[in-house]
Amino acid sequence: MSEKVLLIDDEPEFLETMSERLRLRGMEVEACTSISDALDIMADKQFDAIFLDLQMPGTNGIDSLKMIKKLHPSLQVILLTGHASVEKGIEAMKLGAMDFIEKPADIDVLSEKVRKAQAKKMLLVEEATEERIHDILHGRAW
Amino acid sequence: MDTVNSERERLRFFGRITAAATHDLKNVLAIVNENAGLLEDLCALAERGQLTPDRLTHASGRIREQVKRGDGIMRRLNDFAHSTDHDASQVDLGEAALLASGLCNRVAKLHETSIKVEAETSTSVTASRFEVIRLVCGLIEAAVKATGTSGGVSVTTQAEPPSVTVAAPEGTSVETGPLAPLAESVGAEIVSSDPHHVAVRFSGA
Repeated sequence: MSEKVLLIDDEPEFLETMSERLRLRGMEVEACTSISDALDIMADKQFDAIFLDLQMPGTNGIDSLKMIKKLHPSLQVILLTGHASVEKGIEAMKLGAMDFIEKPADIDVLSEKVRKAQAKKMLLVEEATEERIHDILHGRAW
Repeated sequence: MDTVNSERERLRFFGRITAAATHDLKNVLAIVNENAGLLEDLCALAERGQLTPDRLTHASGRIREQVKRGDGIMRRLNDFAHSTDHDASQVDLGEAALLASGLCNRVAKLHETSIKVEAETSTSVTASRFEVIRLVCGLIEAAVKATGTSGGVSVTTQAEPPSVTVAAPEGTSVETGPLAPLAESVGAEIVSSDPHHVAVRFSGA
């Protein structure tokens, strides 16, 4: 099953090229330049991983991360940014980001992250399903 | 509290400008990196006979564009770094306005606005170039913050009296109070005909 990726970055040229490279590696890719567009896209489609730029116009990357994780807890968010601050990285990881990668990044590293994100998401979904089944069974007092 | 003319504030300004420029350079390098990688990917496709030449041209064209963009950022950063070379020199206000606007492009982008410069007149004042740039950047940053998404910021220079004017869209209010001591230190004053329209006016050439 091909991995589904959403790229969020305010550099259109970066999005265009990164999308093309990930597609060449068999992934399904959507891209957008704002968090509001990203939320619209996420309302309609499911993704395994999101690459999110930490410094975007009109928004704070950390707030965007919080918003995404609140709406889609099982979605794996990887911060990909030129803004290299250890403090921000730690803050992002505490808020549930899967990883924090500095630009420019290696495509093979990114591809591996996406595969891990997909596996992690599937595991989370499976766990949530099992928990739900367990609740239903116990709720019915079987 | 640190005043606008303290060494700490000067250092903070230098830090803000270099942080913004290096962030932009990182983005340039990331795009160059991805396009160089794409060329490698396309070469692999070529070996399998699955490549059309326009894809190569497109990727190499993007690399050239980013090299040009990176060169502009580096040139501005270098020009800014050399602004500390002399305590006082002849400062061309048109050039200073252009440089300050370029240095503030990132902060404008983050506030979802843009800066338009019309620095046609060539007029010089004797002052610290670094402080003049800091002052004009301060005015632009104040205008950008006041503007938000409601329009663009314009920067113009005038020869008589020598001045740099920064205008935000009508209905906004540009707060420049904290910059007054800085203006005074370079022999200028901040004047405002409207809340959205501010100018730094120098006493003479």
